[in-house]
Amino acid sequence: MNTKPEGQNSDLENRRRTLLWVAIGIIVGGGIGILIDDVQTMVALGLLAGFAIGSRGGRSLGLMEYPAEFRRRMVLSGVLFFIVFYGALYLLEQDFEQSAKVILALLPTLPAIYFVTSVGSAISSLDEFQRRIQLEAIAIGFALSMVVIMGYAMLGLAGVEQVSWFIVLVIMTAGWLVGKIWTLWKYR
Amino acid sequence: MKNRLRVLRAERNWSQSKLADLAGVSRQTIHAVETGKYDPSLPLAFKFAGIFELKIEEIFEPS
Repeated sequence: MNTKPEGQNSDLENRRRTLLWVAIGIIVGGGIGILIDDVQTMVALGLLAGFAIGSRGGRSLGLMEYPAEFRRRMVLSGVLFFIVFYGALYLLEQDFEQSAKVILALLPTLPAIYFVTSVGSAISSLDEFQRRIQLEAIAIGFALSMVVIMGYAMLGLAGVEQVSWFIVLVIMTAGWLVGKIWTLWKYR
Repeated sequence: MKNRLRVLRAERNWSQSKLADLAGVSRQTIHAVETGKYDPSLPLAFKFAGIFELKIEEIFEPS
C-alpha cells in the first residue's frame, strides 16, 4: 500500500532522474574538455553541461521553470558570450596593435552584460519562493567564491603557482551551483 | 506560521498543481508553504484567502 503523501513518490523519482542528468552532463562536459585537452575548459564545460542538462531534468519537478522566451534568451546570450569570449582570447594571441587589443579585450563584456541581464529577467519571472531560493543561492555562491578566491590569491603570495585568472569564473559558477543545490535541499 | 492549506485543498479535492495554477505560483511553492518551510508574502496570503473564500486568519495562524 502506498502511504506516502501525494506526489512524493514521483518527486523522489524525478529528483533521482535530475541527479542522473546532472552527472551525465558533467561527464559529457568533462569528456569534451578532455578532448580539447584543457583543464579549465574541461571544468567549465563540465559545470555548464551539468547545469544545462540538470536544469532540463529538473523542469519535471517544477523547479525554476522559466518561460520559454527567457530560456531562449539565456541560452542565446550564453552561447554568444562563449563565442565572443573564446574569439577574443584567440585574437588577443595574434599580432594586433595595442589599441585594437584593448578593444578586443573589452569586447566580451558586452555579451556578458547581455547574459547577466537575461538571467536577471529570467529570475524576475519566477514566483516569490523561487526568487528566494535564487537569492539565497547567489548569497551562498558569493560568500563561497570570496573565501575560495581569497585563499587562492593568498596561495599565490606564498609562491604557489597560479593556474589562471579564468579559474575565478569557474569558482563563481561552482559556488552558485553549490548554493543552489544547498538551498533546494533545504526547502525540499 | 501554521496554515491549513493542505486541509483546505484536500477538502476541495484539489492537487497541489491545481492550487498552484489558481494562485499563479509553482507547485514547489505550494509544497513549501504547506510543509511550513516557507511563509508566503501578504499578497500571496491574500490570494489564497480569495481562492478559498476565507479570511487570512482562517488559513494562517501564528505558531
